[in-house]
Amino acid sequence: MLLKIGVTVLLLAVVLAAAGQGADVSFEEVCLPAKALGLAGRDVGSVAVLAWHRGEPRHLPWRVAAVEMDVIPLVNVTDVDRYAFRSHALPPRLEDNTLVCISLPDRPERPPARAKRGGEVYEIGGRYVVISNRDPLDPPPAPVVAPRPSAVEVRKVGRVDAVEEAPLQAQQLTGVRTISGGFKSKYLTNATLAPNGFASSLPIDLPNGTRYLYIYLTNVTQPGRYRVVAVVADAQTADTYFNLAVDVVMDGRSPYYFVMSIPVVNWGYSRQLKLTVGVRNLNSAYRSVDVVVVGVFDASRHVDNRWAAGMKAVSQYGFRYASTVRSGVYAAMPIHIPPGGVHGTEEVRVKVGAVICSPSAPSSFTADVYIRPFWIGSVTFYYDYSSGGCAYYRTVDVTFRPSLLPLPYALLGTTDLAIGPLPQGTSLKVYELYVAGMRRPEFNRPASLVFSSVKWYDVTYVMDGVLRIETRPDLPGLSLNGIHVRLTLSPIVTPSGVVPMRSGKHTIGMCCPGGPSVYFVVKGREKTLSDELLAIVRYINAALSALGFVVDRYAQDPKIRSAYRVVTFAGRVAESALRSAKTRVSADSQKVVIDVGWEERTNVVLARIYCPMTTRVSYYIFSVGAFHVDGYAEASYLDAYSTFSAYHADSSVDPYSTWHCLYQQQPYSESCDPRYYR
Amino acid sequence: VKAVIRGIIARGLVSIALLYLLNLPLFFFNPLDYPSLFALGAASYHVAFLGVYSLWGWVLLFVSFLFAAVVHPSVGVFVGFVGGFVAAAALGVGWWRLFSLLLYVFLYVVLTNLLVFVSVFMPYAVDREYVPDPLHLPLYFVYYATLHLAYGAVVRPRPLWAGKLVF
Repeated sequence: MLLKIGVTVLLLAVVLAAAGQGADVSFEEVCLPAKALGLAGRDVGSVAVLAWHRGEPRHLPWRVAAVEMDVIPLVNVTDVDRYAFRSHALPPRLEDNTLVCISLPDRPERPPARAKRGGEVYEIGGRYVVISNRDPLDPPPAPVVAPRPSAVEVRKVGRVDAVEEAPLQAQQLTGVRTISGGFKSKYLTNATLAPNGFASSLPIDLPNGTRYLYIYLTNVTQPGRYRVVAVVADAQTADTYFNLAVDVVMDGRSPYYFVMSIPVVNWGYSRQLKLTVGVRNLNSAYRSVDVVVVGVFDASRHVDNRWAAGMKAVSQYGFRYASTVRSGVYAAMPIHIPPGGVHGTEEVRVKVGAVICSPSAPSSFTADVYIRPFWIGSVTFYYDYSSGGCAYYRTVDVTFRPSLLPLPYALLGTTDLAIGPLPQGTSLKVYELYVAGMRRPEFNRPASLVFSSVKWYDVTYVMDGVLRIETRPDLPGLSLNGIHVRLTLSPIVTPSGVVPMRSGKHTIGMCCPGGPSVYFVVKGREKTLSDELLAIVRYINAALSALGFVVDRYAQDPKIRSAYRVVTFAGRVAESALRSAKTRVSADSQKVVIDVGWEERTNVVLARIYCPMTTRVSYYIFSVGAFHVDGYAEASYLDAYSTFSAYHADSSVDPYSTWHCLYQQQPYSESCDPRYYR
Repeated sequence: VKAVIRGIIARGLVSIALLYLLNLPLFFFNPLDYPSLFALGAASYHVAFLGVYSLWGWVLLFVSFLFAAVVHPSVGVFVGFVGGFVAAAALGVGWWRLFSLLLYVFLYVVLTNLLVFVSVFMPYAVDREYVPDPLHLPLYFVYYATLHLAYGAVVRPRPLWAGKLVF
């Protein structure tokens, strides 16, 4: 215990000391055309930018000039253009004049002739930078809005030859996979720092098998200069393996800012390591900072479950969308990428059609698919047939397998799936458009008690709104008592406004064997005139249904009884009209129905459902049958599942969840409990 | 007698025609998406009867829809539903106004209770509680024909097409 406290104090002291002294690395950003670095024509996702520091190759923060795009939400409303907004993404390819901005360290070493990472060596303003091929675990660039070119001399001065080394992938043969997730410390989440002020996380335990850590500042951080310090130390011996202080400048023009990567894989195996991150405000004014630590870990194959986000039709009808009058827009739907994703299992499925009702409809057109800001691939819409003056197009059904991770965690898990540019007057018909993959519910060891309180199932259905379903098991011992389900139905929010959902029934087909109990809240609900008038109308109806006693006496069938709650024509219409102003949630053993009220079309509905098991089971596969919204011809089905299994929990190992806390809102509580933050 | 029966049947048919016509917008547009339409639905049951005799019935429909569109859909629904009983007073003259109102409420309560009881055992063609079901047309016919019969016998309002507007 004393050692633990000692290590904590020591770590904090080291971080504080490092933040107080000068930075080890101070970055200065230069922006150059891609041509000057030999990058013209390269895929943005295939490049890594490195510099040598203390004899090791290090990832440099780099950004690419963003392309502007007009985005519309993928919703079926007639005035969809009203919700159009301007946004940005990384270009699919670097053109000759695309500006590439590299943060140059102040004192980079000259790279050796041979090293474990190869590449072309450039001297930019007297400092050495290596342009290399991107390894799947290298951080991708960030988009930057309107960068300005720098007047700096660039020349190619040689190359570093890559040394063949024993591949780390050997571990994968024994069932080890790489997964990733993110972590936020409560001390560095939207923390306000005084001028020259300092804040630090408590030491964060690193799971065994940590490969890389990446430290990002999110765009919640206000523009300015900051010193970011990271220290990795051994919890048992107090040896420090990594200690780096980096000065960075934030300009508020990117969605996230890569600061540094920590190659824990070089010394991390079989050691109990702790990470501490600190930030010093180098500005002369108060500033808010927001840090996210992204990690990539080796983990055994343990309760891998399938997550998904998007929409999927199974019949020929698909989901038809209103046409846009603008040309060149991108249609986008919000998606959520949960933590714990198993690398290499992600897939983006695209199966869409398009209808253009115009005499000048093209014979074919190509659209790009983005998980913004990242380009995923292209699809070609080819002419299928014409009918009633409209040209119908189809795409070949494509499945892209992007190497997404660890990017989404820097975006806090939430981004959108966009398709475009679309010609003027295009209405999309979507059969399948989703992202899916495998994920592990928790990074801790399989015996950790934490598995019983983390989210196992995660699926996001996008229709007229966004329905997110998360579940966690009720696992007090060696049998599964039940399942906690958390449903969140929210409208689609764009910078141009909130798109109201359809009012009416939103039905989720979900097997709940033991009869569910439901608790729900509608966020931002207010008492309105409808409530007052409903009370009066109910009173009048009760007075008018004078013959109700006949029914009470003779009608035993519950269906008849419910029909008799109101027994007058106009009264029934008036009461149901007023009642339907408010959102209601009901559930039975087959389905959950969220009946969105016409007054609450822009409110978020949060429902918590507990499904008890009818018998004692140790194993249960949970999935959602379908999501249907009244007024849509088709239900949405996404192949997502989780396999709940009871296990021997050992309360002495890994008793708290760390690397999921940010993204994990436990079904029990409304949000991640900050007591478990570090 | 035959002429009277024919008159009652004719008025009953006019009423159900009005009822379904007034509810047409609710068949085509989901009132959940256009909540002001609820006011038409709530008022339509009254207007299908009152509108045969008095322009006040049509004023009720217009006012409730106006309230729904301008003030709040709930207000429109409330005015359409509750206002219908008040508008029935327009069918009588002098003290018969109050009698007309009470008779309308009495018949509404008795008939709707009985007919809805029957409707429980009838099939539905459209599964929406906001609109009169086409398969329940006979019920509405019985309802309105009985109203016309009772009013023809007691209050004796003149229908709008009789030339003299009852205002």
